[in-house]
Amino acid sequence: MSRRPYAVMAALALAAPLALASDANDRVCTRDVIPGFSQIRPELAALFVPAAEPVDTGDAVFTTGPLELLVVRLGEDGKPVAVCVDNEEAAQKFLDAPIQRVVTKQAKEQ
Amino acid sequence: MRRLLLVSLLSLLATSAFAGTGRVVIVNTDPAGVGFNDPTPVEPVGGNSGTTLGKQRLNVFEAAAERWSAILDTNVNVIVQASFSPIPGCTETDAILGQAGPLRWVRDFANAPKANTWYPVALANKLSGSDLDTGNDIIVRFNADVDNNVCLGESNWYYGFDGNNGTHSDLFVVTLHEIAHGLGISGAATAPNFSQGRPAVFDTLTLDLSAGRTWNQMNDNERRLSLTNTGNVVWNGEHVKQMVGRWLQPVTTLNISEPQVLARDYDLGFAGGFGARPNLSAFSGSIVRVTDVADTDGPTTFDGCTAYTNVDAIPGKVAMVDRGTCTFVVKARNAQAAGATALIVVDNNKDTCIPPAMGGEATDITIPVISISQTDGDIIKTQLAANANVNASLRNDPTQLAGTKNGYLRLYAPCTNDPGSSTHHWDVTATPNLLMEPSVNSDLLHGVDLTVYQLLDMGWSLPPRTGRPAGKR
Repeated sequence: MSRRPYAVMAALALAAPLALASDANDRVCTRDVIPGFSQIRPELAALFVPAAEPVDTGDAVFTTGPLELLVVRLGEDGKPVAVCVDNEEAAQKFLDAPIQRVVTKQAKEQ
Repeated sequence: MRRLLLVSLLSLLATSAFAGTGRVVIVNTDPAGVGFNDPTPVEPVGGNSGTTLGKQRLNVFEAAAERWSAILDTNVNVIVQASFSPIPGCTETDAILGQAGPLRWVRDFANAPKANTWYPVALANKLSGSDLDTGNDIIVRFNADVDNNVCLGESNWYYGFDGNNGTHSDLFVVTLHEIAHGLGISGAATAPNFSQGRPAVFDTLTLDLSAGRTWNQMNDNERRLSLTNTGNVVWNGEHVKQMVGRWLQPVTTLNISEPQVLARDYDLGFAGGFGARPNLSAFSGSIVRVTDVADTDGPTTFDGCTAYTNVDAIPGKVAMVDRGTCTFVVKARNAQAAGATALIVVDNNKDTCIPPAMGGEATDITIPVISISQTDGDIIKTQLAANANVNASLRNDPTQLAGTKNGYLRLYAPCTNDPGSSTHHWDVTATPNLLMEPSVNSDLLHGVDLTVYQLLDMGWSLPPRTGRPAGKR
């Protein structure tokens, strides 16, 4: 089965590095450009509910939908590698990344 | 221990107000003939006695619901709207397994512990002692196409309870995980956003150690920065804090004592099927960066894949090479042959925060082998290039537990390219693996580990008679 053609959307580039100061014992992480976030599966986007209403409606109850999405890929050994994500960007990154790079807790030979 | 007893006692007192008669109830919303009602005959598997596909699926859901029912106390049923239907967009190698979360959020109800704070309706019902909003509380939906080779080829759902899922996805573990999101391990909006300017109860317990404030005390921009403050976003709940020592292992770090500019502990990764198990006595000495021949077996002069060109500098020292081109086993074998007492492999992926776990099999390698991140490797290389003596050893600190920072359990605040959802999971450095890490790891033993204590921190309580979770580890 071949992948279906996916709509190509504008690449997302968050230009401003958002490194946060931390003590010397920590890794420094930056969020700058997100490689691979150039394609969105329409089916994927449809699974995420719109962000909850940011404006105060005064209501004491609001209805939402499932925010957590479980995405799976098959690793090189044929075993499923599943991660839980809460936004399209994270889901797409997981799907786009080389499989060797996303199995963070699984030993790799090289 | 006294604090722990006090916490447990308080939990029991809180519980006694509502002698729990409520259960986690699965409501099957699938139409006849599909999903949970799929009549396809199947053989019982791994303790699941169902003889149709639909029945096996339902058995797993009900077992997961029963697990949570046995652990958490409420006098209002928690209604899980469950379905097993096709989710589009899959291929032979990837798919959406499912989705889940609370269906409604409530604030400022009777007995709400925190004002102006969103609670998932199941928890709000429990705390108020009444059904505040009739209807379903949690939605859990899984992908039925995983079973029919439309998605993931031969890799299907596994419906057994014995953890022998092999190349299949263990539905029981996944269902435990997703119901936990519905019980409250979630935000009311995609992190770091708030809904209607108000935090979810989860946000009030999300602490940024750098800022010294919880997320409900931070503005939008501060929370956005906090989202990638890896290692410094932690869970500020007393139950979890008291229990981490029971679940997590002490962390072993690479300690550099000199030069002073490098003097601190560094995260490391271990080798699996080769080399001596790194311990405090077997790993100590000066680091020497290996140089080798650049050829087709190893195109750089630092990959350690080919014959060393500084072989005289290696004996009795800790060799350091770059990751890449050849296997970890080859690098280790070359270092051992050159007389190194240990090997450090520097990652070649700057986007990954975590040093890689190194796989491979070899019985002839007896030196210990560890990995470090590229960021850490780069600063060590700078000192080596300046001819500094870099002295390294391993340090095992019983007060520093894997996955914690300053005694708090870390939440997942990943670097840009790490997969997974933000903050509504434990950090992936936790060892052993936990149910609510973003990766659903294959070695989980169907327990609810520290997840239940996180739920206690948010307001859930334990059944009065047990006082402790019934879930196995």
